Parts: sequence; C-alpha cells; structure tokens
Amino acid sequence: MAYPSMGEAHRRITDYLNKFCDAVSYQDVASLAQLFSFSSNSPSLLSLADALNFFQDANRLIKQSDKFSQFGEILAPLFRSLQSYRLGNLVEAYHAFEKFANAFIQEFRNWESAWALEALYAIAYEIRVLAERADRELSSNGKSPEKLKGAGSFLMKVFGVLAGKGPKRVGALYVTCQLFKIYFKLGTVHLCRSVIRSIETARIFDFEEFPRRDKVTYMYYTGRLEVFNENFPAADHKLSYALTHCNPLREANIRMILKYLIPVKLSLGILPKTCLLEKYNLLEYNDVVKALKRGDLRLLRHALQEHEDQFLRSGVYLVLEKLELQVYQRLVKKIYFIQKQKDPSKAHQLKLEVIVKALKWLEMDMDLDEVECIMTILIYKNLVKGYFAHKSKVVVLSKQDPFPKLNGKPVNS
Amino acid sequence: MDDSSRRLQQRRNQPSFSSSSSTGPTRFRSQNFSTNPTKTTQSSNFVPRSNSTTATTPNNTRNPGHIRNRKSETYDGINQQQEEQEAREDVGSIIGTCPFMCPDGERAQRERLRDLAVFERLHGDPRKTSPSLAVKKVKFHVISHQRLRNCTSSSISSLQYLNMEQLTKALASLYVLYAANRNNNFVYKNEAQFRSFYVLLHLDSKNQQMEESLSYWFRNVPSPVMKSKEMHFARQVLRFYRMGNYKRFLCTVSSEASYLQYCIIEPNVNEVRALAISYINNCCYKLHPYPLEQLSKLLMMKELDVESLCHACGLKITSDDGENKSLPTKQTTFSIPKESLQSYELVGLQQ
Repeated sequence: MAYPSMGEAHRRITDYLNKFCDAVSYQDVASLAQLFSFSSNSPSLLSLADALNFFQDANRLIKQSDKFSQFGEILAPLFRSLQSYRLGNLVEAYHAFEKFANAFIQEFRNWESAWALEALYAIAYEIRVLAERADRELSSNGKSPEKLKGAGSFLMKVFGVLAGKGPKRVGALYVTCQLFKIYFKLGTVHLCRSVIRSIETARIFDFEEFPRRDKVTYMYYTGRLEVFNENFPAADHKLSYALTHCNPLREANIRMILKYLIPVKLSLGILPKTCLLEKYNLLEYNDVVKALKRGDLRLLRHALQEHEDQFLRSGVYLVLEKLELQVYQRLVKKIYFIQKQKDPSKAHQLKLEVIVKALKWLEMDMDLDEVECIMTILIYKNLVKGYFAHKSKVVVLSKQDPFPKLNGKPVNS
Repeated sequence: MDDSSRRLQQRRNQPSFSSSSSTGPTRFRSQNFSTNPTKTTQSSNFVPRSNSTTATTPNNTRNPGHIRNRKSETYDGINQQQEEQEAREDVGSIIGTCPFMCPDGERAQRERLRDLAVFERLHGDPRKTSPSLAVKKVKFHVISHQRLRNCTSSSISSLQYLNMEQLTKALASLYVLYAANRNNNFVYKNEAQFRSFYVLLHLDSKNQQMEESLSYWFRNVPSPVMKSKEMHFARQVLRFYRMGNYKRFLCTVSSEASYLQYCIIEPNVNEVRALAISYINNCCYKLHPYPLEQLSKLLMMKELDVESLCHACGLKITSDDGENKSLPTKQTTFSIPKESLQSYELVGLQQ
C-alpha cells in the first residue's frame, strides 16, 4: 500500500466528495454508480481507500462544508466500509456498507424520478457480493455465516421501496433477480415464492416494461424452479423465453440456460443436435441423446452413472432418469420395424420373449413378468397403442400409429 | 410381521439416553423409551369430530381442514375424554419420549454456546449434542406413523397429522445436526438410513411444495451418503414408483426394506398395487381375464386380499366353478378409493 502524503490524501477525499455531490446534483447516474462499486477494485477507489486509512478523519472533511454534510449520513458509513474493505475486514465492510445502503435508500425515496436506478442496482449487486465474502470470512473463523441472509432482508426492503406506482417500479425485477441469487445460494428457494407472486400478480407491474436483461435472468431462475418441480411445460416456456431473448454474444449465459433446457426438451421428446452440445460444451448430454435415438437402455443408465454427481448437483438427475420410458418406447419401435421387414403381416404382434431377448442383448436381465409390467406401463401412458394378451404373452399393436409421438407434451403420469 | 417383536418396553419416568444403544437399522430390537407422553395426545384442541381419515401422506401437513378453529369447537367434556381414551387404547402401549424439544437452529447455537441441557449432552459433555439423540425421536415417530395408520378410531386422523408433523420436524433437525457436525473422517452410521426416510416420504411429486422437491434436496446430500446402500434402495424405489414399475417396486421393497423403511412406505405399497390393477385392467386383452393366482404372485398378496382390493377399486372378479378366480379386464368401473387403502400383508417380506 502506497501511502499518500497528507495533502494528497486530503485532495483525493475532497475530490471524491465533490464527484459524489455533483453526480447527485446533475443526476449523473453512471458516475454515481462507479463511486461505490467496490468489487470493480478500480484504481481510483483503491487509492481513495488508502487516503482514507491514512487521513483517518474524513468525517471532519465531510462536516466542513454544507455541500458535503447534507449527505453526511450516506458518506460517513461509505467511507468506513471502503476503509475496512481495503484492509480486508469484510465483515466490518459489510456492516458499514449496509448502513450506507440504508441511508442511500432514504435519500433515494425522496427523489421523484427514477434517475438513480442504476446506482441502486450497483448497491444491490455490491451488497450481495460483499455479504458473500463476509460470510466466507465468518465461516473461516468458525462463526456462523449470516450476512447473506441479512443482505436478503435488506433487498426485500428495497423491493418494497420500488413496488409502487411511479417510474421506479421497473427496478423491481433487477432486485428480484439479486434476491433469487441469494436464495439459491443459501438454499432457501421457498423464499422465492413471495417475490414471484408480487411480480406476477401485482397490478402495478407489467412484465413487458422491465428491462430485457432482467426479464431473461428472471425467466432463467423461475424456469429452474419449474425444473425442480418437474413442471415441464412451464419450465420449457420460461427457459425458452430466456434463451430466445438472451444476447447471443453472451455464450456463458446461453450455456447456463441450455444446461436446464435440454433435459426439459428431452422430456418433451425434443432432441438437440450434437453440434449444439459441442458448441456450448454440454457433452454430458451426448450419451443421453444417443440412448434416446437408439432405444439403448444400457447407454442411458451408463450415462446417468458417469455424470451422476454433476446431474445431481444441477438438479436434473431425476428428470433424466424419467427418460427411461421413452427409451423403452424406442426399443420396442425398433423391434417392430425389424419384424415389419421380415414379415409385414405379423409385425404388429410382439412376443414378450422377443423383447426379453432384445433386452438381454443389451445386457439387461429382465424376466417375463417385468417386461410385461413395462409393456403395460407403455400402453397405459400412451407410448404404445395396443393391448397385451396375457395368456399368449403377446403385445398386439394398433395398426395405426402404434407409437404416438410426444408432440411437445410430457409423458402422461 | 410378528406383533410381539414390536412391543415396546415401558419404563416410567426415567430418561434413558445411553448413546451406545443405537440400534442397527435392519433388525428390530425392543426399544427402551422413557415415558413422557407427548403433549399432543392430551391436547383438547386437536380432536376432530369427523370420522373420515384421509391418506397419511406428508401432504396432510398442508391441509388445514384437519385442524379445526379452536374457538368454534364446543366439546362436551365427557365426549372429549372418551375419545382420548379410545385413542389411547387403540394405539396400544406406545408411550413416547422427546429427547429434545428444541428447534434445530437453537440447538446448534446452544451447542456452540455450551448451553445444553443435561439430557441433551453427549457423554455429559456440555458442548456436544448428538444425532443419536435425535435418531431415537425419529424412530419413535416412524413407528407411530405405521401404528396410527392401522388404527380405526375416529380421533386418529389428527394424531396422524401431528405425528407426521413431528416426524418431518425431527428429520429436518437431524439433517441440520448431521450437516453441522460433518466431519470428513467420520460417517454417522445412521445417517444413510435416516436420509433415506426423506426420500421415501416424498415419493409422490404431486402436491409438493417447492422446497420439498427431491431434485432440490439431493443437491445438499453429501456424495458418500448418496452412494450408501440405504439411499440406493430409496432411490431405486423412487425410480420404480415414479415410472409405475409395480413389479420391481414390490420386489425391491419386499427384499430390501428395513423395518423402519417399510413403516414409512407401507401406504405406497398398496397404492402401487391399486395402480398395477388399474394398468392391467386398462391394457390387457378383454378375452383373457387375468387369473387371480398370478395376479396375487405379481402383487405379492394373498388371493383373498387381491379380491378385496379389486372390490375396493370397483372391479368385479369372476370365477369358473368357484375355484379359479380371474379379473376380467377392460372393466369401466375402476376407481381409486377415496379413503386410504387398507394395508394388506406383503407376502414375501423379508424382515
């Protein structure tokens, strides 16, 4: 840390104070937001921090002039936070930042127009990131991490401030997305429910009015929640929205959306091309797709086993496991086609023992009873049209469309 | 299952927390429980008037219809006593203990602050409580869950609801304890089984709240636990249940379920059997009625029980000369009974 001289420190601090006050006076939100984006670690912020730590009495400077002292409640904790941040005391930095943020919100409420929204976004972002780092510091010292939870409460308050009739309401979705990130990280996703309800049912909000970037993020998270609930049509709708509206240059974001959209689409009978998987590095799904195309049950089980940890962590494992029925359907369909080639007149009668043989060939040992069970499931769930003659152990397929396609609908429960 | 082997010993007013008495998960030995009757059985506000019992799935915890508004109850003091008496007699001699009554967060905090009550302390250490203490409470609730289901008294449904609530709370506390005490060198020997209970309680994905979704829950289960025999069993059972694979579901449950796991999953067993009958009725050739003898082997039930279940689902059975009975298929009268299904013995259950 290069310590400045007393005079230099004085200059840096007053410079900053002037920038802050001018930004507010001229409603220059871009400049304002930069002034408290700690995570950017910009040279000017860091050098200011050094100056503050050296000068030690910035409050005197703030009180010295009316121009600065009107924002004293905001600036004093902001400076304290920056100082702690620079010294690596993240818990203290978080405390002071929260005080700063609260004071800023009070002022923000008094500004009638929505000019300062971007600055508010910056605060929402910074408070979350700072809280995460503070929690890491607490955990490493054997204490209980609770700052991120506190940040969540703060952001709920901010949401409340924005949820009114005025122009500031378009900021609510950004804050919502920060809350989603917090709840997902904390593992308290049930708390998402109340914000979702506010966004989707409150009359003051019109979803189309929100900024595009926020809509994409919102649909991504709510889509993921639908995946957890295995509500595939809704998940498809939301994740597809996120995909189509996402900036195509943001490949990392597209990859994140696809990671959840692909299993959903598979459940609806829609398969991605290999080149898509390759482009976005989602090759863990490659074998799953192949298994569906080939009716290869062994390959599906192998793919699930190979990437088990990964699929469990992202929450798609159970979704992929369910694809088994579609793989069975494909296998039976293939047997039907082979029979059709040999003897078209008898093709629609499938002996159970033939299916058992095919499964044995795939190294899946199933007895007649189990295959009979599988066939009744396929018929019941309309993956196979026909009936099962128990006495003769034969599946009799319907002559018309014996293997109905899913057509974008999930398998009947 | 032999009733005498399940009878619990009673001891009055002596907390017994020998931490070495943790029982193995697969063999049932008689448990020692001290006798503080759980407060709920005596609370006068929770005895409903209606006779209908509904399915005892965890979904009941969300159904407000079971807990009546206290103010609107007008109970004749004698009736109330009578009902409670009935309930006690019906349930038999289970008397429970609550080794702890404290929310999980508070217990973890008190552990840190060395503020543990004497009975919560592991080996008398004021800084440590233990999952094995929580484990006893869970075992009690699992067994109660099964016993209450087989009771027919009119006041049972509220007890079932409350018991389920206690069970889910105890499990949640237990998981927090496991997480808080996680140590990479040590695996709690009961953890796998008690995690498997959660899976078995959430087989049905309908009507579940977001936070109960198994996909979401699995994310936080440590990998060695996920790969354990007990979790493997639970995940297999889940897979078969969700797919509708009645054959493998019943075989797996009968050959691998521990006593406690079976207690939890018993209602699903009968549900799956009803489902199997519905599939067979729907898909099989009309001119080949399904012989009951084969059906009973498939469903792992006695023939008489199969007949009873079919009737409960609105289906007729035919017989030639009164000897060989069959289920004619493509009957249009099938319906899942609204009341909870009677429990039928699982033929071939290996415990």
